[in-house]
Amino acid sequence: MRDVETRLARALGAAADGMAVPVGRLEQVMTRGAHRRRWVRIAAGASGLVLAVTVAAATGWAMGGTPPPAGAPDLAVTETTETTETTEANVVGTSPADPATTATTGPIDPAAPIGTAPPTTSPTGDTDPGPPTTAPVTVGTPPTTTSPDTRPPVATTSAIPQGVALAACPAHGTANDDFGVTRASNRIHMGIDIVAPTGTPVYAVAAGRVDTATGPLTGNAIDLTGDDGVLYVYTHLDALAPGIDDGRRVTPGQQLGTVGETGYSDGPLLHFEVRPHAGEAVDPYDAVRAACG
Amino acid sequence: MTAEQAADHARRVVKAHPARFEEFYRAARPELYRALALTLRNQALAAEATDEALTRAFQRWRTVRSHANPAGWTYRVGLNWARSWLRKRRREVAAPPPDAVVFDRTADPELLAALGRLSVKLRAVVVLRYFLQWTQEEVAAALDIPLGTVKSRTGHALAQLRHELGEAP
Repeated sequence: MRDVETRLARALGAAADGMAVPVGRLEQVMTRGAHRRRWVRIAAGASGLVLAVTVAAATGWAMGGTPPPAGAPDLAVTETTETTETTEANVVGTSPADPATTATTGPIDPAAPIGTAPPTTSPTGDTDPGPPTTAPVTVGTPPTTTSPDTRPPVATTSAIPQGVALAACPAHGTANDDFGVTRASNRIHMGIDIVAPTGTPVYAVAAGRVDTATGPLTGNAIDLTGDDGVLYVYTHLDALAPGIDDGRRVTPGQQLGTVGETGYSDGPLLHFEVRPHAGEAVDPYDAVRAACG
Repeated sequence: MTAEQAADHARRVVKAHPARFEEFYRAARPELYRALALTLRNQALAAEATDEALTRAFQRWRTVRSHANPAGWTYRVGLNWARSWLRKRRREVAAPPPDAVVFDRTADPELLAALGRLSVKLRAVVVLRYFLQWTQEEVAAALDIPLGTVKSRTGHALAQLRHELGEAP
């Protein structure tokens, strides 16, 4: 069966190809001929507003207007009597030496980079230096073969791994030594289950930042990114504690929520994972036993 | 200021900031719209969100253009705007808006339906990773979440999709 990641890239790409991009609000406003009045005000006003003129002019292209020939003059603002789209298109002069210009003539290339082009200089040398970017972010490239970290390999050691000692017990209950066992539908268990009645408090095991998620498989879930770089994952929670929301900083022992059986769970229990540097999951059983007593 | 002086002024200012927002707008807008439509599963809402976000990017262009990925910033602004709109709407109207996206019939309907059952948070990560093909670091920067959370949410999402599609983990 085709890998789901490849399927995703293809399905999303195909779905997107089937979507026509509607005309944007900026294009709608600018083509009503208000640009001339706007230009006169802009010239006397803040430089930021001048960009509105270039947007208006540029969107003449986006709407199918004629792009300027290579070497088109810079913003020909003296020609204020013209209001046609063709003139607007001509108005957007970018320096011919600007490599980004090559992406602006002709039809919009779906593979053109999103984000600003690398810094350039014009012959006159007075263009803005551009942002301190690295490589442009590209869009629309074919699916790569490298897959993101999804099912990390199972760590084989059962000793408490370096740096994974817990500053507090995640939940008091019966911790099962079931890391790495195969579950239904061939899923490998990437943490341990702590069996406890619904409503049992669940605690932060480290100082760090909380992010919440919810889904049919995990139920109510919390990702605790410790200041030490370790990621702690709690799932199947019954409820989150008040104030526990995305970005919230927590301290060890702070209550995050309560044990439950939301999502795809075998009963009320806390599923708990530990991933040093958000990489491969390690067996937290010994660390949990040590912290919970 | 005479008309000619005004023209001169405008020309100097524009040369100092050569049509960069315009380039960004033209290059980024179609993919931003599609990414938001795939995430929100509502084309009308995505169109509004894209316009809102690009307007704000324009207003803050001086700052936004210095980001490593202005499109990521813009996507997040659009997504947050849409989610805020939906929250406000939910307070007034009981039922959620229906998925107003019509997918091409040749796309993968089973997978797209399973995607629809993910939460917006998980779907956002999936769309940025697998549609826009951004790296995990770029996704983390775009959504302003830790790298570990990107990996974790990707893992949750893929696990859920594999489970629903009956694939091996």
